[in-house]
Amino acid sequence: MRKVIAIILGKIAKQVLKRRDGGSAYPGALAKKICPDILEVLIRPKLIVAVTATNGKTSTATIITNMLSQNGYTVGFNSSGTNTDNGVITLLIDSCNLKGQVVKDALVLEVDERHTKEVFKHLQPDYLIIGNITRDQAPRNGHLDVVMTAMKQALNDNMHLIVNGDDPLINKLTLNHKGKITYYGVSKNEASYVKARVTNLDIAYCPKCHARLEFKYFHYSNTGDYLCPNGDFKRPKIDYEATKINYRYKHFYINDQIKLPMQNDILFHIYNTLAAFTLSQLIGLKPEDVIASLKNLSFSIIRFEKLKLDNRPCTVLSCKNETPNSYDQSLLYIKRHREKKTVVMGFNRVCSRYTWSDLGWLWDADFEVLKDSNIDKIVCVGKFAYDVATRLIYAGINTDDIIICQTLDQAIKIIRKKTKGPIYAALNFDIVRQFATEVKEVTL
Amino acid sequence: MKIVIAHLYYDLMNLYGESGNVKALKKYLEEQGVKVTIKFLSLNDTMDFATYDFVYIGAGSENNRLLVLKDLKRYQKDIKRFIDENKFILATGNAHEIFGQYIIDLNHKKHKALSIFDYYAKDVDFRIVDEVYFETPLVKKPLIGFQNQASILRDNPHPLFTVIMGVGSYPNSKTEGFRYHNFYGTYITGPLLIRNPHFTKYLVKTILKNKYPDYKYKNINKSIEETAYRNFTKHLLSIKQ
Repeated sequence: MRKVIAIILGKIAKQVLKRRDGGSAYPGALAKKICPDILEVLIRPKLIVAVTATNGKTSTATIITNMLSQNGYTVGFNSSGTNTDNGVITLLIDSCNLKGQVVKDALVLEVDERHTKEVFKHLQPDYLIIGNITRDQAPRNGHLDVVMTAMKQALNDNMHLIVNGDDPLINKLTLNHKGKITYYGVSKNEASYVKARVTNLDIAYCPKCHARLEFKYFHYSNTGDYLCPNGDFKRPKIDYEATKINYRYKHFYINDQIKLPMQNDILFHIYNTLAAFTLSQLIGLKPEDVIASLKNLSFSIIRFEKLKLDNRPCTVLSCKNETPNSYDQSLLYIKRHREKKTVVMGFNRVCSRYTWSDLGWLWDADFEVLKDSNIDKIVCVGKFAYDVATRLIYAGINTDDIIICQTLDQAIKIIRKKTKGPIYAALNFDIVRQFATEVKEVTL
Repeated sequence: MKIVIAHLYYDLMNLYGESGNVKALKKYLEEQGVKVTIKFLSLNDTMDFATYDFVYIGAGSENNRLLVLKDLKRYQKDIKRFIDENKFILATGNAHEIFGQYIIDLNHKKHKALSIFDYYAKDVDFRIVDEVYFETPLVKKPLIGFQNQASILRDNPHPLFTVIMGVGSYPNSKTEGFRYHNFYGTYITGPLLIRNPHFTKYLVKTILKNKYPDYKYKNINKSIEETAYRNFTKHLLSIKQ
């Protein structure tokens, strides 16, 4: 009875909130209050896939949802970014009938790394995709040991893990996993580099013998091909490897054999697509059907947009403050485009979750990449523009090439009057939409 | 003029952008015409303290801190001599715990530390996270920064700072940090030498005067860093109200 009341009230709350602000964690919280073991008493669908990562959870889960839908599955997905246990309950309540039977063929769950423990305790996925583990929101997370300890408690041997084999921290996390693991990864390519760019790798030593890890190449941060000199730890054999990556014509191959399209030319997108492709092969989809669904991928990646300012191409790259790797991705993307260019960076709030303004992460992100990226001017904007400018000076950017602005309005005026070449805006989430909107208004 | 900086355990004690501190020190010193060498040293590396002028260690995870303590014990006597000879150590975040009597972990296990200073540290089952606004008689203006730790420091006879905002050495403490000769320890994490140009100037002057008594400080324009500091101070005071 409690279960039915919880489902009905949860569904009502969801409908009411839908009119106001889309999905949220509230219906789930309400249902849990009425029926604390709600996650256990609901009847599961035949397939549950969970996705966790520091970066790319939503994109990966979206690609998977799209792929499953186009291959005949009915799919429930907590797409509104409510990736905590309450968010997952909201999704389940929304996807089930009054008997508590989930009426979808599959559930795709995007789960916050530290909430995996809570969610999986009650609702264990058949497949768990782990995309990457990296420094993120230090005031909330403390450090990676805290995150990894929580994630470790979430795993159990009945889950089939689908993991990024290039990330040594994921390998460390799954060392004692006795269940199935399938690895995906990216092969060495034109954008890989051999010498570590930074001294503050998230993992520098073998987790077994503490010998210093050796890297054959890097894709970014500590992601790449690594091994312990004593043979205790190394990049695993990759089952599904992205090879022959062609950023220009936007495609890559799986193990040199199957050609997959890329919706854009971002490295992270390759990883996300690879994760989805790996899953598709484990659940028996045909490669050609997966390729068709990737071509029809009908979602705009929130982190990436191509606009025009006057007649200049303007690429908008959303970055996540306090997640240095999110900046590294954007910076390496900028470097890969070799023409003389203008860059815009900044934010007004460090984080939307709390009022603290910790700025240490600025020094963990690899802004040094910009030093040899053929830049005309860098415009720093927002409340912390002087902190960003300081970071850029230390990264080797000439002070004369840095322009500091307080507002976006002022920044756009200066970009139009005083700068050259295509524009790359690497802005934090708090101002990136406003920037894109103003650019569109100016150009229309 | 020549200065050798040893950045110890750069690959283990580096949680919150601590690499900025060594970068700042190098830049400020070079602007004074100093030739700067940085030695990046870590586990099992040979260390030669007699050849260093300045040693830096940043914040690490609780586990890495204990790993580093174990490794650094090889050089306990050299480090003690280094401090007695008025040479410089800056230990930020939980790194300064290593120089005390002992560290008690969450399982109540007591790890004997380098025992150079009287204080001891104790791990706690919550994290202390806060903005920092700390005063010291060494410089006119307070220091800004951040603290993010899962341990506290007790029995500290020589605090470095008075707390204006922030938690300090332990919840509700009025003081923070430790100073003895030219050893500076603080729970302030991250790039404090970047964010507090006035304090970095003070350090650079002291380092150079100590080694080269005839040295005269050249004034360098730091207006961008200083504006960042000023804006942040305004921001801090506005959230305090």
